[in-house]
Amino acid sequence: MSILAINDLKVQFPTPEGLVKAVNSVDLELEEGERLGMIGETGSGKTVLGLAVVRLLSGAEVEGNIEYRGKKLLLLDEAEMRKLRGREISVIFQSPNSLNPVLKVGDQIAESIRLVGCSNRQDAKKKAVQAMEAVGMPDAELWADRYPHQFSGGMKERAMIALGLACDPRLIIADEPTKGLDANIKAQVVELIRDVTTDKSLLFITHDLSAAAQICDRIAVMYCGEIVEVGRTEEIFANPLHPYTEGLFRSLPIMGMKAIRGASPSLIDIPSGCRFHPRCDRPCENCAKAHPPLVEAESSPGHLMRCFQHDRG
Amino acid sequence: MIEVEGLTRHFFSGRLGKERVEAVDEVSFNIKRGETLGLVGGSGCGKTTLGRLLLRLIEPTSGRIIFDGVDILHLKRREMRRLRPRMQMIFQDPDTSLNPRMASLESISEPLKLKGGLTRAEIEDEVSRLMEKVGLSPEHLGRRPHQLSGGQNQRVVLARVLASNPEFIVADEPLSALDVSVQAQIFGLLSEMKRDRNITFLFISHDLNIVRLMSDRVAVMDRGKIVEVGPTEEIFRHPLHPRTRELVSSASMDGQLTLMLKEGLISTVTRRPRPRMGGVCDDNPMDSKSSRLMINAGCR
Amino acid sequence: MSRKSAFSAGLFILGAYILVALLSSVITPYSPTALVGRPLDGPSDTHLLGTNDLGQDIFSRLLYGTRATLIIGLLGALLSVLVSTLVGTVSAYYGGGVDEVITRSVDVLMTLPSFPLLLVLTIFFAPSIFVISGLMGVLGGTQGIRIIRSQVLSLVEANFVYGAKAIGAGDLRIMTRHILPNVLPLATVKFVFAAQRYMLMGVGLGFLGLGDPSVVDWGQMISRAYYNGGFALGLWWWLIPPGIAVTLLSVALALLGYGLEEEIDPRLKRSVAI
Ligand SMILES: Nc1ncnc2c1ncn2[C@@H]1O[C@H](COP(=O)(O)OP(=O)(O)OP(=O)(O)O)[C@@H](O)[C@H]1O
Ligand SMILES: Nc1ncnc2c1ncn2[C@@H]1O[C@H](COP(=O)(O)OP(=O)(O)OP(=O)(O)O)[C@@H](O)[C@H]1O
Ligand code: SF4
Ligand SMILES: [Mg+2]
Ligand SMILES: [Mg+2]
Repeated sequence: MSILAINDLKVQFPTPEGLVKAVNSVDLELEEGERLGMIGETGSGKTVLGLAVVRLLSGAEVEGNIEYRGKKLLLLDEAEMRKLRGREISVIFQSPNSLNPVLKVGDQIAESIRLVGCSNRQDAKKKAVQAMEAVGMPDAELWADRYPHQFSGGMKERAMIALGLACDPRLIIADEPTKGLDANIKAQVVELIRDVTTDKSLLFITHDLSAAAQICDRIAVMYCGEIVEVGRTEEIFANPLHPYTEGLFRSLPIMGMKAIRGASPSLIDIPSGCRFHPRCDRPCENCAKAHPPLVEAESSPGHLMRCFQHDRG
Repeated sequence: MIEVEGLTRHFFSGRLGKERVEAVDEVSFNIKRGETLGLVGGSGCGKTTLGRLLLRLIEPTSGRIIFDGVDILHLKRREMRRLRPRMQMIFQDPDTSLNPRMASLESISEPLKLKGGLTRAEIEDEVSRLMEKVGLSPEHLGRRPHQLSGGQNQRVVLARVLASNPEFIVADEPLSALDVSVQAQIFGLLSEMKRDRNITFLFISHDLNIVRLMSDRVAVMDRGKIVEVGPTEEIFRHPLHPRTRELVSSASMDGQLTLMLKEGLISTVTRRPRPRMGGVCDDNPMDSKSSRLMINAGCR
Repeated sequence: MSRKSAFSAGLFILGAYILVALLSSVITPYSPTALVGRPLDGPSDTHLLGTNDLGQDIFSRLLYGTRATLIIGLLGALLSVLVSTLVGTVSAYYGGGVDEVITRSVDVLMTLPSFPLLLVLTIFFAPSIFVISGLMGVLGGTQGIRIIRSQVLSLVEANFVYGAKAIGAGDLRIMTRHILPNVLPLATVKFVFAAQRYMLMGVGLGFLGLGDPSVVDWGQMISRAYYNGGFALGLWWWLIPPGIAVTLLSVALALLGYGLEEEIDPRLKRSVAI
């Protein structure tokens, strides 16, 4: 059974310049126990998609259907939603602003632990320290008593991960949890995330392709508010079908670091036809006119992509 | 350009300030004009603190900083303010680097307004030029940080920094909030600034591949001290300090991904000859020696 | 109740009170101090809420009383928020010796019980509503200083403030353009809750007979009704209306504060930041 099923999700923000279509008809399914990586262009709507699931977007128009274990999340009232958030679904936010600047870090984590039923204050604090140790904080006891502004960038990131994992959720939405970590700690965090998610589901939003490769079972690639490719991790990396995905991989330092030409598309005046066509290096006539559907590639089952020329091998 | 001697900064915390963190400890080094010094080291070793000290955004406990022949720690408030725009910092988290209550337009134009002597129209022109340069479009002008993605915010930060027209930039993890393609783009932009405007950089990053491409020299930091400095290739080929060795070896741990990708690349290249189009990037897999040239030739 | 509807409801009621305060001279049928009828008359067509022991129209006094109570509450709150924001910001921004002196003084002031102190000072100065709100503002401001100071302390360490410093912005600009706008939401909520507290304190002073004798206020009305037989004789129209007026205003301010709180709670608000 799928733990999370997103159907035809649309998220739009009205702004004075026009309607920002941040997420466009996204369909996505996350199986129980699955780890799904979400990679793609900056500003393509990954964070918005993640926050839409937990309904933490302000000023947004959200349409479609999000089902979490059979519950239609968009129809729940705020109190029920709050109960899910932090207990069953937890979010590791992208921004360190999600740490409260005027509370000690250990207390924040302890509070989150207490919320899910660990009643004893002392115990909660102890568990908070353990949670911080687990993400590679040296002297966790000492640092639990400090405020976020005393933390270095990487320490804040680790604190946020500890906070997100503290409440023992079923579904974790992690938004770029490995940014700003050095290689050793990153390896440790990757290990930790893999460990704790053996019996949980994970939506792992990231720019760190190697972390995604190590953690995720499947990868979804987003571009301009849409999913342009989904498939098993090895499939995606070894055999990327969509020109955007390929371009992305070619931008890695180890692959030559060649940026995709052209500028990121506007989410207000969305490009016609295939949204990637102004930047694609092999468009055909049809590409500018018709919008390609997300279809299964003939050559590899379970590997979906949104391009007219996917089978041109 | 910048010379540092015995720079030290301690933080005190806990009850009665008993606990001491030696964030930066007796650090000395120099960076020549137009040179890029890469700064690497474990999380929490003091890189960000060092960057802030260099710009005198926080006061050191002791030490000397000479910027372009001037001992900046002895400057008066007002003289310091006049000097400030010449040195800028790109901060680690783009989400916290911008005033949450200011729209991009305001953020980018603030340094221009402070400079003075520009008409409103001139400021607007300059802002749109900068926005285009960093890859933002006019639709982003009126938005506040929480209405932009992490990567878009990072570009606003970059535009704001460029607006001051600095000679020295401390870039603290400038690429980690971006997708790899935009990373390559911004990397190209930074290299271009370095080349065309002879800007001096202190380049802080955990991504050693990028540090290797960007830096002329690399300094390795460990628990507040600089433990090794040397020309980039020297450091990567023959790391001396154990900490450096550890860092360099863990950098090549991305093996799994590389393997998958390489296999994929080879198969795609052999499987389908791609049609060439005007302006498309060069397709040859590059070799490491010519990397710098290749990047600068990058795609347009 | 959702925070949005709480906010709207609070705003609506407060708006109504302000309107009454502004228009009280127009809409009241009688002068609040004139002796316009027989003493202790029950509600009737001519006197909606009857008259008090002096034969003054209670309805007119009730409407007029809005002014004094609102002035004390709002002015006191405004002053206290101004004091705390200003002092708290300067203290946290400059740090060092300035901060030390301010924090120590606040600690000392905080140990003084504020209501009794207010009583003493009100007796010492002539009790006018402006003196009262002024005193409340200054005394109450000290508590706010701590809260604002800790908020500013975390802002001073924020990257964007370092960034402003780096482009050569002066202290004044950093404080007014970068720091103050970010403490404003917190200050606004503090303002609303302070207004609620001070309004109640003002009524309390009036009840104790320490209010401004030259104005009509609800505290005095309640006290008069209480001591001059309203309570004993069960003259509800004399005692209850000012009580309801106070309670409703207090509830309105509480709703307003609750509705605004979301704006500043880092968990509720910041988590939305992308
Ligand atoms: N409140 C808002 N109002 C208007 N536009 C918004 C708002 N929030 C997000 N957006 C826009 O929606 C798009 C998607 O943003 P999102 O943060 O999801 O990107 P992302 O994929 O997470 O990027 P990154 O990798 O840089 O974090 C962006 O183009 C952003 O500008
Ligand atoms: N304001 C502060 N108060 C107390 N300690 C601080 C403060 N700022 C930094 N520190 C401490 O100083 C040390 C160095 O921090 P710094 O931010 O320079 O690390 P960093 O090298 O940038 O790490 P990262 O790669 O994780 O960003 C850390 O231990 C940090 O906790
Ligand atoms: S549909 Fe056409 S334009 Fe779009 S990615 Fe495929 S080939 Fe390129
Ligand atoms: Mg994001
Ligand atoms: Mg740092």
